[in-house]
Amino acid sequence: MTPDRILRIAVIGTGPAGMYATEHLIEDRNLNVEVDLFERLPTPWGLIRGGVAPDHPEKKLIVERLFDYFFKHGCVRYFGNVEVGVHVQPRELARWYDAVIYAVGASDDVRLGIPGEGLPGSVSAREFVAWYNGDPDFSHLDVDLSHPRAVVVGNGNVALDVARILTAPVADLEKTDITDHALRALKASAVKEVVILGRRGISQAAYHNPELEEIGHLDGVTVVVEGDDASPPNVDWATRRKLETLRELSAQSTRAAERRIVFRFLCSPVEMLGEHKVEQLRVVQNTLEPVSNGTLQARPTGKRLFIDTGLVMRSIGYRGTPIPGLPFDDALGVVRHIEGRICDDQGAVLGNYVTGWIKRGPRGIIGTNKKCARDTLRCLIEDLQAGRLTPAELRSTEVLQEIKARQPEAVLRPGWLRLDHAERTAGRAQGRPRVKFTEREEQLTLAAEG
Amino acid sequence: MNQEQRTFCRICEPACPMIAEIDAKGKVSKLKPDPDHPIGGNPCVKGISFLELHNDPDRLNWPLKRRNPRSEPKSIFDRVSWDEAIATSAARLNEIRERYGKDAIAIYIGNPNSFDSRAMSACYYALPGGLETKTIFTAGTQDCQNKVVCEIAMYGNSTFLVPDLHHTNYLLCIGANPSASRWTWVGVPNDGGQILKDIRSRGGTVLFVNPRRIESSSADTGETLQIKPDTDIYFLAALSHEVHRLGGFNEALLEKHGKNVEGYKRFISRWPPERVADVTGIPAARITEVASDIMAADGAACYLSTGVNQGRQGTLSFWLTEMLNFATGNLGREGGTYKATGLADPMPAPAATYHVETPDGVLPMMGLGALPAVLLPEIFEQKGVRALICLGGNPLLSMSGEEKIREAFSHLDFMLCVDIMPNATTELADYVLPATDWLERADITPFSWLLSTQLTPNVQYTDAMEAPAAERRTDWWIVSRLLQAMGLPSGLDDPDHRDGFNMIDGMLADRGLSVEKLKNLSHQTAFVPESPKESVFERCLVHEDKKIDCCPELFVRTGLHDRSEALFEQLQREPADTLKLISMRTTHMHNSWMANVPSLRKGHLSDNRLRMSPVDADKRGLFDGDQVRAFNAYGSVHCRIDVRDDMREGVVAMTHGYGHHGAKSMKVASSKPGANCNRLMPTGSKTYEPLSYMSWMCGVPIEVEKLIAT
Repeated sequence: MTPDRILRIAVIGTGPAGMYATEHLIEDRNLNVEVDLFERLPTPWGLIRGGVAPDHPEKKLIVERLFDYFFKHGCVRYFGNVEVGVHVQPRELARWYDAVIYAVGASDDVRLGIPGEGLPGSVSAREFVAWYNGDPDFSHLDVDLSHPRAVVVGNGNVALDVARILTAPVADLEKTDITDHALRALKASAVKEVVILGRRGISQAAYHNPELEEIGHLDGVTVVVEGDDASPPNVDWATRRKLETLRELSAQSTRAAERRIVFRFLCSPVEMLGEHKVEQLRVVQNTLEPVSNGTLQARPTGKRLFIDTGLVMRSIGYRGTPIPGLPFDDALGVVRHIEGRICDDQGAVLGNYVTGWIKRGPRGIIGTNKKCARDTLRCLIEDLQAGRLTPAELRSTEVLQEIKARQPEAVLRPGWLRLDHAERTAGRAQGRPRVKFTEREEQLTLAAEG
Repeated sequence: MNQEQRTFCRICEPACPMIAEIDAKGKVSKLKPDPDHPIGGNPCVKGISFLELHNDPDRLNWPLKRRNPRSEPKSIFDRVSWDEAIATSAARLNEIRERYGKDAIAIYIGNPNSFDSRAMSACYYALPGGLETKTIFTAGTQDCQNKVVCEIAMYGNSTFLVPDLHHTNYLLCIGANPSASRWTWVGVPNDGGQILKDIRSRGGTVLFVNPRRIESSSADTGETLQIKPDTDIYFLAALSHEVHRLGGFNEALLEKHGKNVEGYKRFISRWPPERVADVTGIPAARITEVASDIMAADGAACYLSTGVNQGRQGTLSFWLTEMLNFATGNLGREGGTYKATGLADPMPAPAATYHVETPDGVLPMMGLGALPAVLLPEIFEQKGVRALICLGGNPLLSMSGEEKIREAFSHLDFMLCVDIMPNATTELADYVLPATDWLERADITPFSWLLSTQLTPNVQYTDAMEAPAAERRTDWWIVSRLLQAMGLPSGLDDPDHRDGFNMIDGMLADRGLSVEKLKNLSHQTAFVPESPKESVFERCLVHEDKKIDCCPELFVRTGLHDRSEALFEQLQREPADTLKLISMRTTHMHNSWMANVPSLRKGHLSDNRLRMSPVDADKRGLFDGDQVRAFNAYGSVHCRIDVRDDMREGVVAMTHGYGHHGAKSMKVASSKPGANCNRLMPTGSKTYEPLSYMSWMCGVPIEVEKLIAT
C-alpha cells in the first residue's frame, strides 16, 4: 500500500451506488483519494431525487445525513450535466484517472412484449416516476389521465408507489416536492380506479409490507382484492404479514370512497387494444403450477378478460443499458463484470469497476448499495496493492479544463448548490420541501453564477 | 471459544452492566449488554462503541518526551522509559516548586477521573494535597460546581439528594435530557426512559423545562415547556412564589428543619409570575398551573441539571429547586427527594473554605475548590504559574478561550499530561504519560456509588478485562509514582497498597464489604439496604445547628441576589431578535471521549451542526445543510445549519466534543474536526458565576451569517 500516492478516481453516477462508493473511498484511512463525481443530469442523487416517491421524504434523509457530507468534501468534485458516452468516453476516463467506478444504475425497463405496447397511453412506471419526480428528460411525457381507470402491470413497490400517487388526495401531494406539472395533471385527473395486475397469486406478490400498509393511510381510497383469495398454508412470516395487511385493507369500510385500488392477481396482459391510443387491455387468467426449483409459476388458463382503460403502465422491472465502449451482458442487463471488476472476453478491463444496479441488476433497497460498493472497492484496493492500476495521466486541473471544453454547460458543485437553494426557496414560500425545476434550460440558468 | 466476563461501563453515571467477550489471546473481542444483571441497565451506543476507542490505533502507548521546543507549533515526541519520564518530571516540578512556590504548579483535572474509583482519590485528593497547591482547575466549573457550592451553603456539605423517580407522581425536570445523557447526579440504569414512562403510567405527570423539545419528552412521558434560555431562575422563583401564595408550603417542616426561611420568602416574593412571563417566555397562568399541579401531587420532585448549571445563575436556580422540594414538604418523603445510600453516607465533614487571590479579587473556595476555568490565563499570569499537570483533560477545547489558553500554556516552564489519547492539549506538553482505559483496569462502581446517588444502591466490582496494552499504566499508579518521585506522600509508599485497592477496601469496610467479598458475590455486586426517606434530616444536615439554611447569607454577600435583578433587567432590554446558543447532549458524544471513534464520526456526525428553528432559518434565508459562520464578541466558528422544529424560536443549539483541528495524532477527530462551540462562550474577567465560578456555556447570544458555498 502506498498511502502517500493520491488516487484519482472517477465515480460515474451520484445515486446511492455512487455515493456509497464515494463514502468508502473517503473514509478509508489507508487511502488518499480525490473523487470526481460525474452525473448525466444537472442535479445529483440519482433515484433518491428521481425515484423515491415524493410522499416518502424520510427515505430521502440519507442525503442530508450522509451523502451530502461526501458531496461537499474537500477531496470531491462534481461534474453535473456531463454524460459519459457523449461528452467523454470510457476509454478517456480510464486514462484520465487511476480508476473509474460506474454506478449509473438502470436507465431502461423491461417491456411486456405484447401487441399494442407502442400505442399512446402505454407507458412505463419508470417514465411516470421520472415525470412526477422532475427528471428533465421526462418533463414532457404524455400521461393521459382522462380515463377513469388506469392499469399497472406488476406488483412490486414501484407499482404501489405509482398507484398511490394516482389515487392520493392532491392536497396531500401539494405538501411534497412532486413536480408542478404532475400536480396540475393529477388535479385534473379522471382516474377513479387503479388496477394492479399480478401474474401470480396473492402469496407471491412482490411488494413489501410497509408499502402495502401505506395504502391504508390514503384518505378516500378503498381496496379491493380480485382473482385470488386463497389463504395458502405454510407461507413464511413476511408473506403472512402481507396477507394479513391486505385482508385488513380490503375489509375496511368503503364509505365515501372516491377512488379505489384493485389488486387483481393471477392475471397477465396479452394485448393492448385501441384505435389511436390504448382503450382496452386484454388479459388472461392464470393458474399456478409448481416447477422444478420448488417455486410456483403462472400458467395461462385460456380464460380471457377485457379491462377498459386509457393508461397502462408496465412495472415489471428496471433494466440497465449498455455504456458505449464497455462490455455488456444483454441477458442480465448489466455491465459484464466479476465481483465488480469490469471484464470482457480477454479478462478484467483494469481500473474499471461497477457497483449498484448496473452491477447486480435492479434489486435491493438504498442501503443494499453500501455493501455492494464495499465489495467492489475491495477489488479496487487489491488491484492498487498489486500495482495493477495505471496512474492517472491528467492532473485534476487538466481534467477540469477538458470537462469545461467538452461541455461548457457542465454544472459544478456551486452551481448545484445555487439550483438547490432556488428550489428550496421556492418550496419554502409554499410550505413544501422544495419546488423542483424540471426544464434543463431552467436548471442551467439557475445553476449559473450571478 | 470466547470467554465471557462481566464488567460495567465507565463513561457516565449509571455504570451500565456489560459483558465482555474475551478471545483466546486474552483480547476483548466484543462488548454487549448483560441482560441478566439484577440492576438492569442497557449500555447505549457510546458504551458498546467503547471497544473502538479501546482498540484505537492512535492511542497513547508509551511515555513521550517532546523533542522540539514548545514554541514550535508542530510537536515532535520521542518514546522514553517510565523511569526517565517520572524522574525528569519530578525533578522539574520540584525545582519549580522550590523556586517559585507551591502555587506555581497548577493542576487541571478532567472528567474521566470521576469514573475511576482509584484515580478519583489520587487526582482530587492525593495530588493537590501532596503538592499543596491552590491553583486547581477542574471540568467541574463547566458542568456542576454550582450544585456543590449550593449544597455546602444550604446543608453544610455536598448532599447529592436524588428525586424518588420510582414513586414520584410529579417530576419537574429542568435543563436535563436523560434520554440522551442518562441522568446526572442521580444514578438510574439506562432503561430506555422506562422510569419516566412509569410515572405517566401510574397517573403521574412529567414536565420538562427546556428551550428545546428534547428527546426525553414524548406522548409516553410528558411535554416540554419551551422556556427562553438562561431564565430558569425566574421560572423557579415565580413557581415558588405561586406555591407559597396558594398555601403550598409545609410551614411546620420549614420551621423544624430550616433557618432564614423569611429571607427565602422575601426573595421569591419579588418574582410574581406576571413579572417573569415575558422574560421566561412562559405565560403567568401556566406557571400558576404548574404550582397547583405540584401541590396536588402525592409526592413531587423537582430536578435540575446541566442545561441550567451552565447558565449564568446555576447556583440560585439550584437553591430554588432544593428549596421548592423542601418547602413543599417533598424533601425526605416517598415520591419526593431524599438521600440514597452509598459510600458517602453520611458525608464526611466539609473541607474548610479557603481563599485565593485572583485578578478578580480574593475568591472563596468551597468543597474541592476549583478556580474559574475561564480565568485560567489571567490567573496563570498573576500567580506566576510555571508548571501544569493535566490529568485526563483537554482544557484547550473543553472550555472557552482556546487561543488565550494556548498562549498561557506556551509560557509555562513545564507541562505534563496524562491521558489515553493524544489530544490538542497533550500536543503542547513536555511529557505525555499513557493511561489505561476502563477495560484495562479493575474498579468498583465509581461516581454514583461513591457519591451515593443510586436509586437502587449497589456496588459492583470488575476485573480488568484485558492486561494494559504496551506500557499504559493506571492513573492511580501514575499520580502515586509521581508523588513518590517528588518525595511527597504517595499511596505507593504503603507496603500494602495493592495498587490502591487497600484504599478501596477501606471505603468498603463501613458497609462490611471488601473487594474480595464483592468478587465472590453473584454478578460481583452487593446491594445496599435503603435508609428511610425521612432520615435525610439526620444524615445530611451538617451545619452546626443541624438546620437547612434556606437563604444562605453567602449568596447575598457574593452578590448573587443583586445579580439576579441586574441580569433580569438586562434580559428585559435584550432585542427581540437575539439568537441564543444552548448546549445540547446527543446519543453519540460524551464530552470529547468518543471523538476519534470512526463509527461515531460518520456523515452528519462529522460536523457539529447548529440546530435552528424553521422560523429563524426562514428569517435568515437559511436551509438545512447551509454553511454558516456563527460568531459573537468571543469568537467565531464555521458550521452547518440543521433546521429542526424542536427548537424554540430565537434559540440555536450545538453539542460538544468537536474542534480537534490541533490534535493531529487523532486521525479521525482531526480529519473531521467539526466546530468547537466553546469558541463562542464568554471568557475572561467576571464572565463566570460568582461563588461557583461556573463558566457561562448555555444561553449565550450569537449571530449567524451565511457563507457562500464553494
